[in-house]
Amino acid sequence: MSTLLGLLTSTICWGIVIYTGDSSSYYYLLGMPISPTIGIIGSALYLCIPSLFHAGPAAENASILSYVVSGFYLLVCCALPMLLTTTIVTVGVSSFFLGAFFQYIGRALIDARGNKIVGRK
Amino acid sequence: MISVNGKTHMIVSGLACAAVSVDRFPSVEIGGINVYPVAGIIPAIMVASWADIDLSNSNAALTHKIAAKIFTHRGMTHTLVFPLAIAYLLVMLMVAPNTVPVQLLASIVYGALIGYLGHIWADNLNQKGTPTFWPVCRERIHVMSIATGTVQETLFLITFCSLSFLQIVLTLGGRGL
Repeated sequence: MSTLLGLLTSTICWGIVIYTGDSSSYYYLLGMPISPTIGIIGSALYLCIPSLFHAGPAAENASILSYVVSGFYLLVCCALPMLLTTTIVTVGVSSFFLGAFFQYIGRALIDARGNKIVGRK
Repeated sequence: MISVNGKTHMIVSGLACAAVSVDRFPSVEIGGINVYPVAGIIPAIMVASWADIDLSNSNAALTHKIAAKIFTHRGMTHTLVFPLAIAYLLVMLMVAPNTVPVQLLASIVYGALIGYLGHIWADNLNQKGTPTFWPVCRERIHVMSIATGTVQETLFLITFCSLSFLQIVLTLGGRGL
């Protein structure tokens, strides 16, 4: 269920990014160049391989605040490369973590309610 | 295996500082002081393992055995408290005149800050995570679940090194978008 909602939110978010952007290779989100291709790969990896790509609290029964903080941290990871000169590397890393954040929005809604940790071994 | 290898931390922090150095070459002005990030690469590498002073078998803990007994691993030393303290040192230097010794000291502190933040970021890629935002949020958070001491860590290191070198080369070549 949480994976399904993650898929839904990432699809909607990337749909909005692509729909509102122009036809160039990069789309600008709040002034940041974003590569939807790498971003969608990021979303897909986080959705398909939760044992390796998983963001969120590291323990069960985590508080709602920890889910919010984890989402914020993903955004920090997305914004940090933008402090450097914009290259394909910074755009790629930012897009990857933005993809992770898009799927995280939906998945965290379910996980936070049931305190279910998907990537936990 | 829950502890990220010390060498991995040194490489990650050192390369992060090197990327910043190339990007902001030769200096970046912070609060009226010229900071030379290139002078911070060695401090960044050295400080990268400081956070693991709470781990009894780490290099840092071998010379400071009491610290390993006081702190639990990935506890307070893995929060933003210590980087904020280092940043405070940097702010304190801003009131000093812009002389060469102050610039050098600020560069070392700047490198140490990147090194420490690099350590916390790398640990957040591990399944155990860190309580980064303590005391605001006490729970450990992570953004990936890379298992350390396995092929996953090696692959991450290869990817990180490749991307860092590519970023440095592209910045040196002035090939932005």
